[in-house]
Amino acid sequence: MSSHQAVTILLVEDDAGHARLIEKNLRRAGVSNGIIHLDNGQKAVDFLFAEEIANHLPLLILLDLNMPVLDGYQVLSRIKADERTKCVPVVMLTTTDNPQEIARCYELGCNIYVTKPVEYEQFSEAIRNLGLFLSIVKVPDEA
Amino acid sequence: MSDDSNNTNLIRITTGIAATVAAAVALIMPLGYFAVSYQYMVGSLETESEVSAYNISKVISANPELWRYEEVRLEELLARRKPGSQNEVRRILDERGNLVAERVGTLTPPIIKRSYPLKDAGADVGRIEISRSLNPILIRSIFVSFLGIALGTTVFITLRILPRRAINELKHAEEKLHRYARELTESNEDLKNFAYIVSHDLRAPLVNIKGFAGELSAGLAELQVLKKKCVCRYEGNDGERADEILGTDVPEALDFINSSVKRMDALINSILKLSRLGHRELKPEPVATQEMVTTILKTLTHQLEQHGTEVVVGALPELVADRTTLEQIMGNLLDNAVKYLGPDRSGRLEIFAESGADEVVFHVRDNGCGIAREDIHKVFEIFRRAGKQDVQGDGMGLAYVKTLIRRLGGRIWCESELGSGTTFSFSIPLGNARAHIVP
Repeated sequence: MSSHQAVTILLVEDDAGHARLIEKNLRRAGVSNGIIHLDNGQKAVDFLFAEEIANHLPLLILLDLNMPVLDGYQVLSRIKADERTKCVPVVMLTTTDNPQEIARCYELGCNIYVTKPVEYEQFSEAIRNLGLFLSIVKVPDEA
Repeated sequence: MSDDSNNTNLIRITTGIAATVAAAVALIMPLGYFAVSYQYMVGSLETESEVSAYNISKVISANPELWRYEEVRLEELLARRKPGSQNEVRRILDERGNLVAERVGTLTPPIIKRSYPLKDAGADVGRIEISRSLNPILIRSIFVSFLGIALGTTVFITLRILPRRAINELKHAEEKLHRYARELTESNEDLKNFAYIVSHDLRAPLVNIKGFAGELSAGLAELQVLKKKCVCRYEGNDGERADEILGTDVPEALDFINSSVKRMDALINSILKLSRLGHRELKPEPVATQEMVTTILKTLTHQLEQHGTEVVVGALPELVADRTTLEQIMGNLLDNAVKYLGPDRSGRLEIFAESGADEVVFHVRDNGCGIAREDIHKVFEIFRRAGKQDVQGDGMGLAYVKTLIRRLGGRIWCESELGSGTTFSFSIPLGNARAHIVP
């Protein structure tokens, strides 16, 4: 991977409002990477496994759980089943804090599980922490 | 399956009984009739021959010569009979068995005969023999046997149809019951899933409302900063109005949005929790409820002391049930009892149990503020709270308790008097609990 190539974040989220809020909060946390927003799981799979993207894999995937066509579980298992994509960190985003769902995501190999709390402060914090995490990941790439 | 084979067996047995009874009726009726008629006929034949022999003997004693020479006269004697008596053949035989006189009639076989000695001064001089046909009896017996067969068939059909009909009725009732049970399970399942889905899907837009309300607040704060820097300025009334909008109206609207979202979120969480209670797997184990209650009471020590509460714990049994569920039930009820103690008098709390044959009933009695009669049905409903709302609560505690107790197979009820106290009682079935430990 060339060090000068722009590293992007793939945001897969069917709710436009959530996507916008996540983007705003990432920006507020100082994340300046390009964000590609896709609104369902099928588009995400098509995007990740397209030929031309092979060398431009996203830095991080933010994946919503409840989506039409392909849901988050299905997308996650496809990503983790493929040699090429399985190293890309995946952050699951969902409205529920159901322990069973969380456990299932970790079993499938997600890296972090973030619940979308309605408390705005917590939400921002979760996303900002994500942003911090991203900048740490980003550092060696820019160096 | 086993029910079906049971039913087939039952039908086979009842059919056997029906056939036996029917055959017995069809056989016994004609046979019995024949036997009685035959006895009667033989009896009457014997009497008849004895009477005739006596009469003829008297005539012979009076006219000894008659016996030797006047056969015609003897035949007259034989012909002297009661009017309307049966068709019969009468013969007079001498002591060597030779026919002396005969009164002829036509008899269809089979024929039955009886004879009686004729006496002259104590010595046998011959005998009288009377024959009758059995035919009329046989014909009547055949007729009776037809009656018997008809009656037997009726008995057979009745005995065979009745149990089958009863079994079918039972089967129908059972099927109906099964269908109801299945429908109930399905609608229960639907309800659980419904609550789960609703809670999930309701939360997504809520995240947006809350999130963008926050964005508006952030934007507003930024705007205030910009205004202070005099980047934009309004004159006179317009300026005051703009300040009012930005400083009061918009923040007020945002506050209402935020508090409503918070409330909505709490409600959704409650529904979600309730639906999860219905899904959680139960692990039955032996639970010493006495110990459990003591531990829960310890956590409530502070509140109990505040009300100067006297606590009486009766003997509580050990039973097999899901520990966590039981803890939540007891915890909620005790918590409620303490929460709603009257502020004006020292509290009293009683926990006791009654063990029945197939269930244990626990009672939690307080002398708190009580519940009005018309409100009692409300207390177990979701989000509903009864009485004065002077104590914090989300209206979910007893709804949880009711769901939990129902999962353990028990039920809960409540007796209360406004101002003098409340008793919550719930049952935990023993049979169910025992069934749980048997693999």
